[in-house]
Amino acid sequence: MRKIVTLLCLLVSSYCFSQNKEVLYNFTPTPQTLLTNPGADVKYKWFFGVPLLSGISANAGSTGFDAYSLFAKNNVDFTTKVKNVVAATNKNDYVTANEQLEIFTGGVRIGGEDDPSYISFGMYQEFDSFIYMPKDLAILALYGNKDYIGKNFNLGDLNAKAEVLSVFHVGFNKQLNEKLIVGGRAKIYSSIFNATSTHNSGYFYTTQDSNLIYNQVIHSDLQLNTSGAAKYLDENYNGDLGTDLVNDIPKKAFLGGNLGLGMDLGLTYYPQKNIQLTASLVDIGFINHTKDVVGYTFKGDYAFKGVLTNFNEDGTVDDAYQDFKDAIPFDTIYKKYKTQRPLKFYSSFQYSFEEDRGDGECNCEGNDESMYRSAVGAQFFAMSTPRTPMLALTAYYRRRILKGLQMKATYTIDSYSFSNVGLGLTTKIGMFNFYAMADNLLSYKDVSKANALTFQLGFNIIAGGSSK
Amino acid sequence: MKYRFCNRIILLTLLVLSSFSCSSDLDYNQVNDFNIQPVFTTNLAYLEAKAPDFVENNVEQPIFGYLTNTEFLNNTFVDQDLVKAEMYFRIKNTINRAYRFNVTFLNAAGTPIYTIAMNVPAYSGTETLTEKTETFAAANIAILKNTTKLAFTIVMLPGPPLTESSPGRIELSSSVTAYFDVK
Repeated sequence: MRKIVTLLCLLVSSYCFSQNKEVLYNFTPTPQTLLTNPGADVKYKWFFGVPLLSGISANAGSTGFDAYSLFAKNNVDFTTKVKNVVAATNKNDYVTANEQLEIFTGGVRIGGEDDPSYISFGMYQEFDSFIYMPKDLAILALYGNKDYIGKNFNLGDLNAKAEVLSVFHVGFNKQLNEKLIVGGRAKIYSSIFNATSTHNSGYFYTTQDSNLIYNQVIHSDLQLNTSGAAKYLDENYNGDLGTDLVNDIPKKAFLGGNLGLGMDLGLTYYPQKNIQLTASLVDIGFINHTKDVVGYTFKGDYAFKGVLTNFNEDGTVDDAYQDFKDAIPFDTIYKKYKTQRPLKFYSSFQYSFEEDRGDGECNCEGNDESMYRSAVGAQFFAMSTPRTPMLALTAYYRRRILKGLQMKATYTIDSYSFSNVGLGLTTKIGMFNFYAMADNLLSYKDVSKANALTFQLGFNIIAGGSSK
Repeated sequence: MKYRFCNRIILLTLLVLSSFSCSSDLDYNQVNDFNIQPVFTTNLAYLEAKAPDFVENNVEQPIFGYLTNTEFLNNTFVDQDLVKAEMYFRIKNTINRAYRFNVTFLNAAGTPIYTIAMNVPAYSGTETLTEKTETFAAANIAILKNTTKLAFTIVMLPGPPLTESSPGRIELSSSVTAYFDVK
């Protein structure tokens, strides 16, 4: 299942996914909200997730283009579509994908009713990728340099990273007083595969010259680091990829990969009974890549004057190509490196109303604190990326529709679109909890034209309830 | 009453939303039709010889020759995807002598398979400019693909004698524009 999900995500990653879980955040009837804020105001006695099915989430996003613009069945030549996409995007447009699959999770309240604390724990697998549009390199590959004399091609446009990892976590959540709940979560990352090429720079240009026909210069400072794939990247590798992956991945997932440490921090604060403020920082952490590392560099400077020129540095006439290879060698390196996890920041403001006076419509799991049927609020989300942070602003409405059925509707403005409407539903029948959330609902009338899609769903067993 | 009405609206909305999920027809197989035709241009060769270079110990040396490897032409990318090439030559002369400029294409066995010859007139007060563009297309692109060496020769034609203090220079600049068709 995990592999299928990963594979699916790898396949679709060439087109899209944001990491903002605006519907899940602070939707406390769902225990998985603790992964977005360890200081969430939860009210369970205990819970555990149905293994492999408790938390399945994926999101994909692309700015500047969508699947329709590339793959529409409309008799437009595919190459033309690619050229149009390249023309319509810029170097800060990106394609991103994220997938999470919870392997197991659970939590339990410790301490008494008056002094509640919660411990929650679990393991999930995550796939993450972030690829910027390599605009200048795409132009060079599509058209060549002939019609771009004088243009400075920026090699720094090449900026991408991808990672598959598993995460083990333990969180602690404590109500300090009536107004304040704080929480923290410690994480151990075990990276299964990582590829990072995010600190590139350089240029290539061709201009007219007076003696030579062209003045043509390349300055390159490109580097790709990988870990967890050395065996497969070796040119002498001739094993069975499928079998080897099946053997390798579980080992690396269970702490056999490149390890890292991280934490989440969060809080919930009630300045008044019906006003709630929350904030959290997720994935303050890093991974040390020391095992199974292979890197590639393409660094140097070269002014290409022709295969034959008596301008050659050492005066030889026939080694221009060798000169070039010496000046900008393509090297393989085996050096350890460190990566930061993408840091996420969430915060929210919520105003609750429609006090529940016990008219029989909803007794809400006997939780005497859940006294409001409705709430409106606003959320802010930011995530670090290799360039400028990704930002999103959400307005939402939460309502208890029926006994055991709650919904949250969101409207989000972000770099993907200004018309992102999301909806989440969580039900609890007896102790059985099911939740499903999705955003960009307006684009479901034609998903191929969506710039971003997110969904989360899962099953949990929950004792005690929360309807805040 | 109001509460129930509200719930009905919400449930109805959910139902309507859930029935509207669809997608335009997408065709991922069109990736196979991907075809790019980049055109790259770069310097090919540059040579400059001053008038005194053709004189050694007061004796004229009428021939200059250079041989260069063209390894870059012998790879699978060029072999499979190069469909057309234009070689542009520009010769400027300020020496009071006429020249013949030859570019000879040699195959792996060292056998000449193609020659481009250019006649350069003698200088007579204004710099002479000789230009030539040689196009290799479907019919003769194989010549380039089989070339492993290029020989550049400058032959000075008879005329007024040069000395070690004669003024002027002959300069060859050239570029190549390569048309690829990558499927």
